[in-house]
Amino acid sequence: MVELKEYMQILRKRIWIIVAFVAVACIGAGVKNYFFTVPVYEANAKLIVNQAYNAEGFPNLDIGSIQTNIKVINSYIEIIKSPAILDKVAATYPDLGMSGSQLGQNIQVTTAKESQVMSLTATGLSSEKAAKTVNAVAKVFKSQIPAIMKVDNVTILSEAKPMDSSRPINVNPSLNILVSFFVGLLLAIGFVFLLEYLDDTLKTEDELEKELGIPALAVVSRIKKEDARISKQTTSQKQVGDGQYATVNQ
Amino acid sequence: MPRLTNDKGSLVTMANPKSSSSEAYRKLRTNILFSSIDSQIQTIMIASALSGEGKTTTIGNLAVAYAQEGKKVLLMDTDLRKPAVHRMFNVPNHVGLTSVLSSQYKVTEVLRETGVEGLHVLSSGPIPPNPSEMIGSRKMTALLEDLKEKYDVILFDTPPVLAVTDALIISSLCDGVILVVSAGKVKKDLVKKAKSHLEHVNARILGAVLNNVQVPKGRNANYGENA
Repeated sequence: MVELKEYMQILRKRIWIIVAFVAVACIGAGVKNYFFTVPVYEANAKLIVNQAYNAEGFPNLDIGSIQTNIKVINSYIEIIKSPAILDKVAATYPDLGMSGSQLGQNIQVTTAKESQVMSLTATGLSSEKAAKTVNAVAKVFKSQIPAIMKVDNVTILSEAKPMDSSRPINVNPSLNILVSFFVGLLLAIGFVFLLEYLDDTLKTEDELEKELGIPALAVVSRIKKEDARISKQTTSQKQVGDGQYATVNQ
Repeated sequence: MPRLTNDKGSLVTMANPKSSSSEAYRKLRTNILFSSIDSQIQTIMIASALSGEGKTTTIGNLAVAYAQEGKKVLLMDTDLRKPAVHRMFNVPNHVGLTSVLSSQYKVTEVLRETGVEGLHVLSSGPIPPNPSEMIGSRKMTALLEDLKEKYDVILFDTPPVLAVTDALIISSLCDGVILVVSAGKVKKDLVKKAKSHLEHVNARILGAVLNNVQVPKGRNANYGENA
């Protein structure tokens, strides 16, 4: 516990360094978040891959066909991101203002394991645009897949709505500032301990006795200016100091 | 009445006996007494590894603290290279220790009153070309024997231990050595080196004074001060 106290003392001694580090980190993070970050929005649409009816017109829900659908999703992921689909999207929706390859950078396709649901995610500079992009890709993909795969088994489960993604995904000032706070704090503590480690001057009574084996007879603090100035009271007395006290040596 | 101030503004025991710093010097005085139970300590020198650690301030205040206790005190400036005691007590320094050692004056002619009862100062005198030899001379030893009979306590201000050999010569004339260490200023190695130099000449190190300690705010309240 003594060591812990020593650590606390080391930290307290240079508390201003720590405060400065943390303040700079937090202010930096705040400024970055509020002034220099372009907000990016995200929209999400879901597609389900399932051939509802087989050739005979019966519901097709046996394990075998479900497994087939799951397997086929991996191909679909590649197909969505291929120029075959994305160039078509760019051509069909010129108001998106993006080429096929640009679309490819803004679209992610994910699927939960062992699931027939595919999730399409698009990012954009506004929630409307992100939603429009993702819906466009979903629609084009759904309309193109029968031509590509000769099977019509993709259904749009849910379309993206601009409302769902009204908050930008990359701007979260409170979280970022919190992270900066802790990172700043850690760096500052590290820095303070480094300074302490590099400082090999004698500073305390304990160090004096530990390092030199000499007892400290007295510890004199920096003499304050007001102490060194002569007060009227003391100069008027011929003998100053001990005259007023009872001393051991009497 | 001599002016009770000084260039350095650091004779706090004289200016403000109730301050915490003055209390620290009184504590130093008491602890020196306790650090030698069996032998009497009459001659004390102050040493430090480097210059500017507060030797003169410490010895000056300690001298005043002794005088305030009612002792007959002599403060000698044996720093013949960069003397400072005369400035601290505002006494002239055109004659002093070197004048006595070179047989130009008698010691009684160069001893100065300080305005503190019982405290006399022997300033360094003109700076000689051979300070170490002067301090190591037989004349110096004889002078000291003479002065020991007149004063209860004799205190020596000295040059830094690591700079010149003078302090080591003086230490052999003294009953005890007090090492001043300026907190946060001097590296441990240098203090250790100074200590080993002193030990090498069999000086008796009574202890150390940790100087210029920065006291955290709020812990400096003067106990017993009724202001």
